[in-house]
Amino acid sequence: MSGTRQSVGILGAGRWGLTLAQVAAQHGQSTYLWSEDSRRAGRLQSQRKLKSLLPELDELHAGVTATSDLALVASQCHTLVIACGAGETRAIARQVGAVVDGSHVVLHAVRGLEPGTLRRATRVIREETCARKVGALAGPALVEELLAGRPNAFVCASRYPEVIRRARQAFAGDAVRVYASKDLAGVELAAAASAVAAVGVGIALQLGLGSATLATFVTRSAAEMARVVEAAGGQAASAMGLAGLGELLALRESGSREVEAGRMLAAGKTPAQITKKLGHLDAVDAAKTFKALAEHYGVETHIGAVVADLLAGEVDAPTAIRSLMTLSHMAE
Amino acid sequence: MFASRNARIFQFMDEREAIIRDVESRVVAEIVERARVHSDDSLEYVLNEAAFLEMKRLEKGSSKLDLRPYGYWQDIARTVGKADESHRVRVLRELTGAYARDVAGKFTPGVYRFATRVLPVGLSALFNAQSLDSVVGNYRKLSQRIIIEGATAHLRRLAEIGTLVVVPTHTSNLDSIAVGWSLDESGLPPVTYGAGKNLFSNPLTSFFMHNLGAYKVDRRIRHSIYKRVLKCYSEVLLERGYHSLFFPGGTRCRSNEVETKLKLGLMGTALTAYTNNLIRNRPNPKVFICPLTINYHLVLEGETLIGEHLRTDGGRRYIIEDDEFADLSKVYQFASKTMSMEYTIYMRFGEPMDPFGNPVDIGGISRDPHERPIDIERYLWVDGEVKPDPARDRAYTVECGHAVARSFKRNTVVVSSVFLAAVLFAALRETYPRLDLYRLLRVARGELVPNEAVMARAERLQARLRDMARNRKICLGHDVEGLGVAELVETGAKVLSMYHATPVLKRASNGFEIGNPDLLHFYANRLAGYGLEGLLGERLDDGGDA
Repeated sequence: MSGTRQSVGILGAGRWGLTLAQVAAQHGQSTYLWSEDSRRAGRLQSQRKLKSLLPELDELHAGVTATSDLALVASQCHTLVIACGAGETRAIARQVGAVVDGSHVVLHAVRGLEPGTLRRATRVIREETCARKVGALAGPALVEELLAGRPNAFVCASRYPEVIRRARQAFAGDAVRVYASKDLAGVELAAAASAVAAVGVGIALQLGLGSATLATFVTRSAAEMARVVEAAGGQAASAMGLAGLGELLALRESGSREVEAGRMLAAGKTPAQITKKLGHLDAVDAAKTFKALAEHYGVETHIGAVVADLLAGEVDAPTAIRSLMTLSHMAE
Repeated sequence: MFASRNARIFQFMDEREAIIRDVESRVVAEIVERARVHSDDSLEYVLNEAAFLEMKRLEKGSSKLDLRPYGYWQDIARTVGKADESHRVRVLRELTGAYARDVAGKFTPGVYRFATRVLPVGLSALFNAQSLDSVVGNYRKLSQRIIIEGATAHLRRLAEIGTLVVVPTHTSNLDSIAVGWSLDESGLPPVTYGAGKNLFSNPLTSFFMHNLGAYKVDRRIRHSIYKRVLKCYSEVLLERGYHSLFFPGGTRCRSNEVETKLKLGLMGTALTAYTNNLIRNRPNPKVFICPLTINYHLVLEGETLIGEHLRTDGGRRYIIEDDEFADLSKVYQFASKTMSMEYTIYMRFGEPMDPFGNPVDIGGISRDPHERPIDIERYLWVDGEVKPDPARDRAYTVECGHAVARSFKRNTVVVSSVFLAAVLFAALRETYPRLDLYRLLRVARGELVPNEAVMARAERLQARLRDMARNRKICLGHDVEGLGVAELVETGAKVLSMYHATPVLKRASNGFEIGNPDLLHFYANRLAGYGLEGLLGERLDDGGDA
């Protein structure tokens, strides 16, 4: 019964999932952390850490129960948060569909669109489950800073007030603010696009471009995001908000994996070498899907297209930057 | 085939007074409670708002349809500020009761029997304009003229275990007559529905509307008390098991595009009724939403509708009172001309759904995208109990509206007139690529579209539509499905050259002379939004993904 469900379930025990589970438990939530991999779940439950994946985490909070039993998680949790790569969302959502009912809130913290279909994660969840109360969690919050207890902010987007309320109940606290938005499409698209733009920022940093160039790069990336978001049914303001510009600035300042990937690209590393060093990056899929999305809606995206071409190994960094600087002059 | 005679509406006259009282007491209680909680919705404000809006409306002119004269509202405006709360409640109760009584329809079983047995024969006679000797034969023809397709067997079963809310597309005032006939012909129970109060002044329909369960909606009244009475009346009827009909587009679609932007106020009453049924532990609490597309070869009021659409640049004036429907000779002309065609109207029932937009199986069980059963009560849980939540329920209704709009699109039946109009309009577009729509419509009158510009497009479009139909993205009329492309084009041309004061086109030996570009645009619009624009243009002949 929903009335007796008191817990929050985080689905996906990667870096982001582990961090969200830790934050929720620190805020006093009874928290279930689900991993499809029963060995990983067992290890987390017994050893309370996973240094190989998340060295920043000293010890998993006692309020977190790690398990590979999804039915158990659904029976105990009013809210399920899918925290995985964009390409894995459908497979997880399909499993979720077998265990949820209409009373569940299903949130996701996926930064990307489904490769191939270009679908937003909430649409994928709707296609795989009976859940209606769905929403997206995005924004500039960073793993390292959340775990260090430094102030962070999310934006939670949903048409359903209960989803916002549950997100705040799970994550909001002294160091975490959760802002609300009704622009679900805009927030999801902006979150996907910001990871792509962050790769571009990494390239610019590696090439030693000046502050003015970087500022131009960031603001033009945000403008590009806004055009695509609007064309795809969201509000341009969301691209300029926490999920878009906010996340891009956080990624740039934190030297995130996306920025690091951009630096490596500019240093002449191949996409395969980057993946080998940094592990799977949503930004790689996101760049491809974002470029395809822009083409689908007939929106010009110079920076996004260049990043996608770089990540696909189709151009090198100097050529890419030259192509951006030799664009014909245009109105802002 | 005759509809179930144990439908709740046959008891309507026994319950009418109780329904009116129920509506009155609920609306008063709700407004008083709201006033208590929100100071912005005080009784003084609510009554003043009603008086202000009614006085403003009546200053422009009164009619015999008005329930209260200008002076009544003037008195309220003058006195409500000084009156005590109990006086305000008395005024509110009196007003709410009067509105509820005015809105409430009637249902006379004798008239229903007459309508269902005699009217089709009469319509046949009217439509065929022949001697009474042949009316029985014509009656048989009527069922060939109005073709009913889709989930009728499914709906018959659901009507026994819950309450149906039929939600059709809407382009003509003939729609409610066509729906009523089709329900009876399909063995489905009669429905109650809200009809514009102005329609009750039409001599052809007012008698039947008065006696067949239609309730009166005065769209000129804009204040919140009246709107609340209307919604509450619908809720009370649904809760009591009265099958209902709403036009979710709100008013006739001016452009003739398949409706996507739906007004959800009345549709939301389905969810409210279901919630109340659960809370009150009523038997058969479920309410089923039943989308229905009505597909005409020719639309009676086409000229007026597209004229209005183009004048307001896609906007909508709320009421048109002086269109073709108000002119009996036009209705007769329309009926006799269109009924001489082999097929005229397709009524296609889509798959029924619950108020959350999930498909419902024949046992009334909602199914998720993987066909797993859903316990839909749980959508309404708050801490484990069914409770209303206006913000949540609005979001559910928006989702249900999207599901209805998708159903409309899938279940639209393409007929030859629409098919040819889309082909011809695309050819015109290509002839004048630099003109915007309005300039194009001005210059296209009298334009000849040569045969060779039509046939290649027609072949591509027919092939694509057949493909889409196989993938259940659209439905095809027998003509579009079965005829060869040349015959299909000629059939479309025959239809489009009849009825309208200025026919859409005239067939010439070397092509199609456009007589009425506005109407051509109107009929072509039915295929807008299916991603066919690329397919119909010469430059993108492989087409976009529909």
